Amino acid sequence: MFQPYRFADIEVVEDAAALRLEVREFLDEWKYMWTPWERGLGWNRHDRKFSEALGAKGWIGMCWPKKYGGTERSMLERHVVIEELLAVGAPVGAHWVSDRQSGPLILKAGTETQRQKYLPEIIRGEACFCIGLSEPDAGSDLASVRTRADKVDGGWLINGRKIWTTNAHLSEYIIALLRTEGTAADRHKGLSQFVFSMNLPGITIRKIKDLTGLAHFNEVTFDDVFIDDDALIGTLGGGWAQVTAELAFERSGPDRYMTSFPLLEELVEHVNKTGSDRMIDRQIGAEFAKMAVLRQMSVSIAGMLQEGLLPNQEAAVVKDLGTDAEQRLPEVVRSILGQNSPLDKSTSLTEINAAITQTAPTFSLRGGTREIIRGIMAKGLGLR
Amino acid sequence: MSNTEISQLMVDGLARVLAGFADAQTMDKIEKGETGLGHEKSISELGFDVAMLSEEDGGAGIGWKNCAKIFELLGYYASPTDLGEQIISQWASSNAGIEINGTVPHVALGTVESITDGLVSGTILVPWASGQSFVLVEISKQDTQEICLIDTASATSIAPADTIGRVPSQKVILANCAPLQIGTLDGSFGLTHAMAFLRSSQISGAMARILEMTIEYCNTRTQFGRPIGKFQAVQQLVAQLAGEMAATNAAVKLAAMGMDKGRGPLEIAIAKQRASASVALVASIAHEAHGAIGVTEEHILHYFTRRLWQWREEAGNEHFWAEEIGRQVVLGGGENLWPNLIGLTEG
Repeated sequence: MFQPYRFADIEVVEDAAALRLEVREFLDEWKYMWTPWERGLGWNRHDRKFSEALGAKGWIGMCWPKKYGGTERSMLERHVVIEELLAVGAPVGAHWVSDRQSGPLILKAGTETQRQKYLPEIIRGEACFCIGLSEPDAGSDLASVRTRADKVDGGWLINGRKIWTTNAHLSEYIIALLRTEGTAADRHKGLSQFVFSMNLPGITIRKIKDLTGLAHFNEVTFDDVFIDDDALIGTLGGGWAQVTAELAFERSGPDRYMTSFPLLEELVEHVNKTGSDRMIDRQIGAEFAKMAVLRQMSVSIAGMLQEGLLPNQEAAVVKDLGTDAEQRLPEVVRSILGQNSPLDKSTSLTEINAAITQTAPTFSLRGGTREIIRGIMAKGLGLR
Repeated sequence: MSNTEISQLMVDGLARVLAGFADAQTMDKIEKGETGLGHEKSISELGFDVAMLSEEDGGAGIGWKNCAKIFELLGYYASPTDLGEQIISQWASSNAGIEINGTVPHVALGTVESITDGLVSGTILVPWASGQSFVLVEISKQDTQEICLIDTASATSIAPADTIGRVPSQKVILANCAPLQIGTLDGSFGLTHAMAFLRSSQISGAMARILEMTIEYCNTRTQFGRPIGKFQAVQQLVAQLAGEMAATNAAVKLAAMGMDKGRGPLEIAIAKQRASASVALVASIAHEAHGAIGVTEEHILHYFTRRLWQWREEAGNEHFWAEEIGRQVVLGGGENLWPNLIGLTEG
């Protein structure tokens, strides 16, 4: 039978219940402090103290080797922790990118010196990383990167601009994809990845306010920024392949379907208190079913990662279906509330819905647009 | 040999047989109720109807997870026989202590009421039935999963049912009919749930076939000087089809895992909801991509899309199950939502 995907039967972590309980007890100390608006802003929200507390529990970089401070737990155990965080809308932005992709990239492609330097800091919750991919002329078309790193004595000189860099203004480090050879016309040839401090001379960060009035992303300008030779991560000229692998980490997590989960929880609570009917049950039941199946696939992907597979295609499926479900949820809420659905702070449900309604457009942009993702899927299916 | 290895051998064996009856002409004959095509004999000779029975009872002792592979394969070949129903029938009869003498009973869709003690009434749809036959039916009751064996000779009326799936079926009306036997299914779910699982799996398999056909067509059909699969507009559609298929497949896995662990009702509800809900998009994209040729009688696509439209309604459509799921979820309130979701795999 034709089966293009490798979603397998999932395995349940042996002591998942105990681990969950521990995470929930930890979160009980925090979650009462977060407003519905804040929970609705999801995993971009930066709270260093929270990340440090999480680090102290051993829940950042938890699959990494002990010699860097990790606890060598499985990808499935990590999945337990991160889905518990997402379920309550925890402010994980100060370590999310580091834990999800920067750390794994350093572990995979970095030098021993780089691992020693960055991984322990990430694990303690002290190192926020940002991702230097998009540029003013390179969004979905990532291969047309033009920000350059030119070879000079003892290092590289960077000139150019990155944009939409989430949390750049709060980050200690960046991993940037830079052109070390040729021009934008050379596409994915001659691109390399570098890791360096955001505090270097010549780096200017300009905050860009989004439509909610908040500024979580930025424009980062590099003006003759000097970085040492040991800032190169992985292979010189091998940046494109590394980024592709990194994006698989970026796209494969439960953060691609759970952003709106706190909204569903508020909705169910509201209906539980105010009374339901068949049509309301029907709408909520359909969303619950969708989420249950997405979770099944997400856990399955964690299993594939654990086995060392690169689940690019499967991650694309979950991202496409997941972001669609996340984006639909505010409309479900409106449909159930009818005319009484103001997007203001009158109830916790309307407050969180206001946050998600306004941030929802980004769900299918970040990590690769819906159209790019579907293009990847089509290619994977053999459309040629 | 492990259960999984046994079931893989079964799946391979069944695939070889089904592949011989997979052309449009044969399917047309099957839908018209023609006999003597040899497919029923070839399939029954495999003896897979007892797949779920224990080895002492002559079965293979495979669980729901492995059974789903057989059901999906049937869907992948548009189910030219009622092997899926037979497996459910054998499982239910054995589980509820109903004795089978001779032919394996059909399984009814729909339930009957038992208002007068020992007598049942209701209207049921019986796929694959013709003439007089024996049928297993679920008796609608709270808190217990009763089934009964009916001889349709004692029905008030039997008429050929006109379904868009077009497999030979009967609509049977029972009024204060005395069942031959009554039994109770031991476990967490009843006959309708088992049938919902069968249909979910068949939908999943049929979608895999539809996706495969659609990709093949898009890579060969040329317009504007190139295969239509090269057009991004078409690629985006096919990707969506694939996503819905993948979700349906995962939903079946979720249900099977729950059933094998002694849970089931909620997991099955989710599977059938998700499977049925995917049908609209999958069928419309497949037809959109195939263009006019795909809606012709001679093209094979409609044997799969008509089955999908039929199966999504049977044993509860997506709206029925969504209400069922929603009722439970709302009752639990916000604070139980997440634990309920986790409980599906870790309960």
